[in-house]
Amino acid sequence: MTTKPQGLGSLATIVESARQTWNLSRRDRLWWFVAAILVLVPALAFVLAGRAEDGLGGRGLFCLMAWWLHGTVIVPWLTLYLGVQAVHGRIEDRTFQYLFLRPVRKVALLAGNWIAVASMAGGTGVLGMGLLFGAVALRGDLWPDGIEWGLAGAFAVVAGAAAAAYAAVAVLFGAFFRRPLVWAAFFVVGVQMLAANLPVSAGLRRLTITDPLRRLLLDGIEPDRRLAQMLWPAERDFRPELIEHPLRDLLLLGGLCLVAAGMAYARTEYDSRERE
Amino acid sequence: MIHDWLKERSGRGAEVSGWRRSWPLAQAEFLTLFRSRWGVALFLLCLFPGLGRLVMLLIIFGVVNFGPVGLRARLQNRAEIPGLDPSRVDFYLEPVVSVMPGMVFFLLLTSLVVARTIARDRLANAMELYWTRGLSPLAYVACKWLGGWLVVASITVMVPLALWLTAGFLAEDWSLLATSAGGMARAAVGLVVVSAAWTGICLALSAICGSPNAAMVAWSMLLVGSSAVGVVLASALREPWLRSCLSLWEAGTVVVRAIAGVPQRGVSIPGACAMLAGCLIVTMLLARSRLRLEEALR
Amino acid sequence: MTSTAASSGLPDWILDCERISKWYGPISALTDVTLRVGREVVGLVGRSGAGKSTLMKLAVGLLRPSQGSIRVAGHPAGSRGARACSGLCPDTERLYDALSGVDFVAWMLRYHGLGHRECRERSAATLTELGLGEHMHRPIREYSKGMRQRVRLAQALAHRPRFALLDEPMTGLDPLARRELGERIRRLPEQGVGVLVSSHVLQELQGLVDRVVMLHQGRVLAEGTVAEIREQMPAAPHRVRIGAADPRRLAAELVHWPSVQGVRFGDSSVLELSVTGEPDFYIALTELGTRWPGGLREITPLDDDLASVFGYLLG
Repeated sequence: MTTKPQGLGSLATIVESARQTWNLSRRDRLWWFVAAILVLVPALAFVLAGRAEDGLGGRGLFCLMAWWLHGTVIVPWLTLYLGVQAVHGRIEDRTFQYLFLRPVRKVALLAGNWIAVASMAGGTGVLGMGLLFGAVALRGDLWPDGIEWGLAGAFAVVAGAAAAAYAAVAVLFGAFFRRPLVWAAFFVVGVQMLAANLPVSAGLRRLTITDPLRRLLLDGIEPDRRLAQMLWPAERDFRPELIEHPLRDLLLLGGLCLVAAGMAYARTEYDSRERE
Repeated sequence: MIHDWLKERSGRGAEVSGWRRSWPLAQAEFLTLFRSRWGVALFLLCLFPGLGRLVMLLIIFGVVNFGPVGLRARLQNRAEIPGLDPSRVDFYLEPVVSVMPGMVFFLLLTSLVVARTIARDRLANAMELYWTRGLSPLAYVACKWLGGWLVVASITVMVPLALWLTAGFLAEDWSLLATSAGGMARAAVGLVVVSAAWTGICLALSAICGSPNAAMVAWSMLLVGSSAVGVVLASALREPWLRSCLSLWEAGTVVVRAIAGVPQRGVSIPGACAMLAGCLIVTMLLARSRLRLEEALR
Repeated sequence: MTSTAASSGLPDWILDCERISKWYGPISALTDVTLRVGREVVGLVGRSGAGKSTLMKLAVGLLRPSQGSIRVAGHPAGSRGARACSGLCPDTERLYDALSGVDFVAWMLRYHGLGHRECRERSAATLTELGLGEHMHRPIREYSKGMRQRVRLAQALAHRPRFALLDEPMTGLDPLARRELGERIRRLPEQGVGVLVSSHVLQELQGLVDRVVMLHQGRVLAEGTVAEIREQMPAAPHRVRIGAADPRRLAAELVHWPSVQGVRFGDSSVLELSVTGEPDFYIALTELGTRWPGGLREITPLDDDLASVFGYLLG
């Protein structure tokens, strides 16, 4: 005869795991650095607004800074760092032993990590874009046709989607690799940079996060040819029909990463001598 | 009662020079990459751009007949594509100073080897072991830097030199070596200086950050982020030279090309030097404050 | 023990390892180990690398056996049911340093399905019981090694497991705390808890465990109470210290006994004997003591403790 298993249900475990990851991550010293960047970027935008070349305008300046600074540096790297710390950090310092002994599903623990990381990084991205937009919007002379509030919305969506997708990649790398951040660097700087130089119809682009984000932005902000080339130097033969379904592509990539991460997390013997 | 047995230790231990105490640490640091299969695989991956150039050299000199006829003809007609002329120094520099794939492989290599090194020791409380065994904090950092730089230099310095020597042996006479020797020597000096500075900055970040993962992210963000800032400002202000002053990678490559005597347009050499030196000094000063003995023993 | 368990309808053994082996590629960490733990304290001893930690990790499901089966309270090891009734005090150093001791234990308790309030109350009670009540609200990063060890123990015991695995639980504790913890561990079987405890300090285990399992190179070398194991080693002569008024005369008497293999003089009034055929020897010695002038002041077996037995077994 066996006793009835105790323990949290899967949904409650996800919530609890997310709460705990949130609580641990918010204590990281990195947030001071992130806060400094979040303040410095709008300050830089405000200064640049007075000196930027005439044709750029508030729209161009905001898009340029939001994409290059937040979209390609802050959101991806912050998300990858938080995700890897949440999953792999506990494996590396062996505190995962305390968690894996509890009567809950490991996949639920991982899902909680993903939610916490995506929400923290997404929130930071949205806040960063908002502050940047506010700083550029303060210069009324840069918006001859009125302030385009829709731009802020489009970039906020991109920040949220990017955080969710990068968080999925981060938990996969964290669960799978012994040096996940090296693989993250390979993915972000290697694979994505290589894909960005390929023709827009190249299939490899579907395996990246930046390409669906690019299409999401093209759809959201409808840039002219010059702005599009400033944001994506390889952007030459843009056609609206090539936008297709960027959110679906992100969902697919993120979902696949999460499923693979869940399988690796549930099955891998992290305490095995083979890993040492 | 006071036991003053310390006074009884009249004999001094065998004299070991500072270098003999330090070298094993640098050597261990250098060999870290080669102790795992993944590390060796990464090192081999980093050799790929160099191997690509080697294949080009073999085609250019007619050793192998490989690839489409049109491409072979273009490669063998050296004057047609200046960047692919083996008699010019930039042919050998390009695999290591280009953003793609040079920066990518450099970032991978330094992230794995240099960025983790001091942060990992701090996490494992290993620093006090070194610092209480006759290695000063300065010597400790110097050893870590030397070991890391040897790994980086084995790609950034050795690959261009090996390619150049290969080209010299493949050429019809010694004129290729003779005409490009001065430029290559200067290029090698430039690569040594810049890779040493980059390794130093990466190592300093490792000392500043509290965990290996944080150090790897900080280094990646500095390298990629400074490039992004360079792109933004250069585009917004229509001043292309700003990229060489704001991007850590661009600054380094500009300095290398300047020392090698490769002509450059739209760059600021003093700005690039200032960027590189400024980053090195600031990160080293921050690292110094984090590497005091009390910090290690905390 | 087992009969009580059977009558209560619960499985006979809380931990039941049946012929388990664990391989890492060509390396065998454990080979054909069968081990059962009931409501008792079982000591796991062996040299470094003998397979103690591997066995513990297999028992809690952190590793999967390459062969054989493990059940904890009737559940397959690693299943939710097994995890619900197991508690592990691991040998890892790290905890969540930014949290306080009470928060850390409460966080872990949450996963057992307890409410926030109950988690905190139970966490505080367990830490207080382990002597950390005064400091439990301070961040763990400020804790000493011994205080960290109490937190690790608290998270293993706070959810009231039926089976506790304690890997080197005395590490970092001061002598007083070791004694208190030892008493607490000894009381666990009374509450229906089976305990598997490992330690390198064999003297610590001596008074703590009901029986021991000795591992060597991944195999079980011996199992049972210390006395049982010692009895099964006739080739290793027992060492006995005897104190008497005239030790030289006593030695001259004893040296003719067939069971006495050798005699060594200690200080002025003490003899050390090497003996085989232990029960007959003690009967004869007791008889000798009654007629010896001044009697025998001391008869102390010197090598029937755990450390000696372990030493004999490993040569």
